[in-house]
Amino acid sequence: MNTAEIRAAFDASLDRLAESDGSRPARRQAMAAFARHGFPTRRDEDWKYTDLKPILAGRFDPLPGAATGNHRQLASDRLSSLELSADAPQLLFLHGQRLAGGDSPALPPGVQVPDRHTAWQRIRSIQTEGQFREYPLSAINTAFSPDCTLIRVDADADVPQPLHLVYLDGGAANSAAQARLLIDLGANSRLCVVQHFAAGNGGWTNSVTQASQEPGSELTLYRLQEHAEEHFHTELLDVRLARDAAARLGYVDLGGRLVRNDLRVHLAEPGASCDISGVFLAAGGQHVDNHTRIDHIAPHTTSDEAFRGIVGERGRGVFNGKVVVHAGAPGTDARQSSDNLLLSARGEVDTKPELEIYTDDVKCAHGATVGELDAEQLFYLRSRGMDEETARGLLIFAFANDLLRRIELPELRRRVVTAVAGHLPDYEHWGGLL
Amino acid sequence: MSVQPKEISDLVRSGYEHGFVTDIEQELVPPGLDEDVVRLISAKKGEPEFLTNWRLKAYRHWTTMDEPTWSHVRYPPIDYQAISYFAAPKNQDDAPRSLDEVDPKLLETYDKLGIPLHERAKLAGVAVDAVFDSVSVATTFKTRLAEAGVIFCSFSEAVREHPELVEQYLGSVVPQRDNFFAALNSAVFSDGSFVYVPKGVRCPMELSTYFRINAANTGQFERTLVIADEGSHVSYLEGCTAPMRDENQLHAAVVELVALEGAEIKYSTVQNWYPGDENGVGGIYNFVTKRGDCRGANSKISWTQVETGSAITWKYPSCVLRGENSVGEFYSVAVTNNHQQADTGTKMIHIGRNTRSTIISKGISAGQAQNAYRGLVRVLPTARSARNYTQCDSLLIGDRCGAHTFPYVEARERSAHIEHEATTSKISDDQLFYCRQRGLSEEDAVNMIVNGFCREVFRELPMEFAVEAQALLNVSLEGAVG
Repeated sequence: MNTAEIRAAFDASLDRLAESDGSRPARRQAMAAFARHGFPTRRDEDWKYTDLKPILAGRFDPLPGAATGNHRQLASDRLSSLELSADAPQLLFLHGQRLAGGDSPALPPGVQVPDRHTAWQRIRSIQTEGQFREYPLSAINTAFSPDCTLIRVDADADVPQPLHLVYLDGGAANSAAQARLLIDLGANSRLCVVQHFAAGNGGWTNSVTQASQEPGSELTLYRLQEHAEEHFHTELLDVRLARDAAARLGYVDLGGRLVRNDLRVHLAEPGASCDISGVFLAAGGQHVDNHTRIDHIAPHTTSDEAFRGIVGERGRGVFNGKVVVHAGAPGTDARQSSDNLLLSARGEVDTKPELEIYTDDVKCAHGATVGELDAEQLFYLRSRGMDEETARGLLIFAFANDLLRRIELPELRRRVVTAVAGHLPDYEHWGGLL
Repeated sequence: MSVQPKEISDLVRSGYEHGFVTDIEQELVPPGLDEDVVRLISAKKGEPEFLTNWRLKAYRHWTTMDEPTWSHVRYPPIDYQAISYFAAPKNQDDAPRSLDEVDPKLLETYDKLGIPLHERAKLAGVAVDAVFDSVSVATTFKTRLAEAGVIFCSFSEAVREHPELVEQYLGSVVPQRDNFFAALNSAVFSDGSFVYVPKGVRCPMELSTYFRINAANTGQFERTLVIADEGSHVSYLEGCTAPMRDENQLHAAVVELVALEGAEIKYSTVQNWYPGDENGVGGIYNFVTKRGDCRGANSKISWTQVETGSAITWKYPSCVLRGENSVGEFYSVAVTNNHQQADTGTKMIHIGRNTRSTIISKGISAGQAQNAYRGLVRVLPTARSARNYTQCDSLLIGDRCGAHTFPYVEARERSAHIEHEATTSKISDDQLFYCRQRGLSEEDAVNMIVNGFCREVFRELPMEFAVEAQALLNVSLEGAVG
């Protein structure tokens, strides 16, 4: 799969993609941008530690066929295995396309999902060459996305229930899912979204989510990634905050073979703040890369970011966190940490917390650690009669749980905690303690 | 040195203190660089064939390389063909044997710089190998060093007297192909210092060199090689000042340190090249490759640097921790004011078991300056129980300057323990208020706070350098407050 092949696939499928939703101009613009920039390579500083070659070698069809009955069956099996509570509003996506009638139950008051035409208009109004240049994969998403979902929350609406978005695939090899989501929060509104990625082996999910927050709005977005072990996942989450808006973002990555998450936060007006936490496990041959960039553009903006990685076997964990404090942003308070457990002889952790600061009235700090379990903590548990495996499992879990406990939805927290713990050594013995 | 009233008023104006030009006849190679120039430099210095070929190999590779653009600095493109690659003071043949024979104009220059050569040598017990432009002209304390078996001489002399050592170690830490500026240096290096400390010897005194750029349009391409044989110890000091120039001058030096089993090298630098004026005109481009190789078990290399000068600083003194239990240290203070730019830091490559490294970096940015820390800590799978601690703090003075941190951590060994911490802040109003209400002027208060901020690094400097460094810091930050 190279740039020319992508181009050819685009020309062949444009008519099918852009029937009546007015998406043609946006798609064309994105394709032209992609043709200019191409796939990022390891020569690009932002891709120094992550090689997209396995994805390129996968010869993915950027535009998989429409969902068939068989696919639906697989998807619904997979869905039931996620054990989501039945009364939570859900939007269901197959290969990035929203399944008609797959939503249940009805959307809560204050939340609208306008038609595709409106959504594409919104995309056209916000898409920029700069975004395609910095993140060319978002151009592929725009060019090929079979669908585009816009979630709009009315001003002052306080949406009581979390909205679950579940992304599945039919398990077909070489199929790519271009998932596209837009979230617009009206002034002083409040919304919680849970994005749940759980696709099967052999596919590639390339997701782009853009959130725009009006003054005083609050967005909570949890993103749980539980793809099968041989799935590829690339993702861009871009959040733009107006005055006094707040975003709380939580990432959990458990599956996938090659995972690359890009997160951009623009604190564009005074008083905007964000709180980001991420936990990932990388075992087997998994490669998990979290790339974040937070721009403090306006005065008195705050950001707090914490990522924790657990790397075992031949896993590789990458973190690159950049905080940029612009010249017009005095009174900035930014904190960032990247802590990693490296548990195996063949694992690798590469972490790069960056600060770029262009004004003096700031408080910025970052920290990074890499190491194995603390021998003294292990000894403490062993001296109390716990066997080594159990002690290790418990300590690793405690390391992750420091961030997992920040998840505010009790049901989701329980679900995530169980999922994380299930991946750790000797879970049967200490799982009961949770 | 007696101080005349006129000189005092000069001081008050406080331009760049060391800005002056000594009028001495120079032997210049015309600007430009090709294989013939490389051969000419080598021939002028009467070098053996291996070195000529070594230079040519470097040159040929350099022509295939691109200037690096990844650093956080901006400057107009350098025309490498407009630079003259060799300048040596005349009267080479009858080189002076003692200070009395040294060209009085040269001595005058050192006087203005505040380096009273003999006094300082006697009082401080320091041997000074003063480099005037490219060729070393005066060396003291040679006899005492010779008694201990320590070789401390100019690089050219080492090529003549100890070619086997030079051939064995030259380029073994920084290969010719290492990077664009190191390749350039390898092709055209003019002179520099050479130190060899034999087995089990503790060098009886601190070694120091003063570098100076003088002739217009001459890049300075120093090459320093320090070899500490098994169980030896040496402390090397390097200080730099340069005269006022309107044109940007390129300085691309290479420093190689080799520490064999149980050896220890302490390398201290006070860098005060001309930083350009307050409008950002002129100043030195300081593009330096410094690397130490802890080749033997239990060896130690420690870098300490105080960087106050240069329009642009691009240097990353690094340690390759190859030997078991070897130790690397990096202590740095980098000050940028006006339009200065610094992109500096270190690399610690952990290869051997139980290797340890410490990085303490203090960046101070004022005016419209940009100051970046860029560091790499890499732990290879062979480095069992490796340990790193990194702390980099930035202090911002004024709302138009920038402070940046780009640390890379690459860990491939589970028993490694790596910690990195960084903070950025301005001088707090509380601290200032506290000092002011005790009667200190704002400028004194800032100087005091800044000196306190840098204490951990100054502590590592030899005493006389620590004093000089503090004074330099105050001068560099003049006019930054208020």
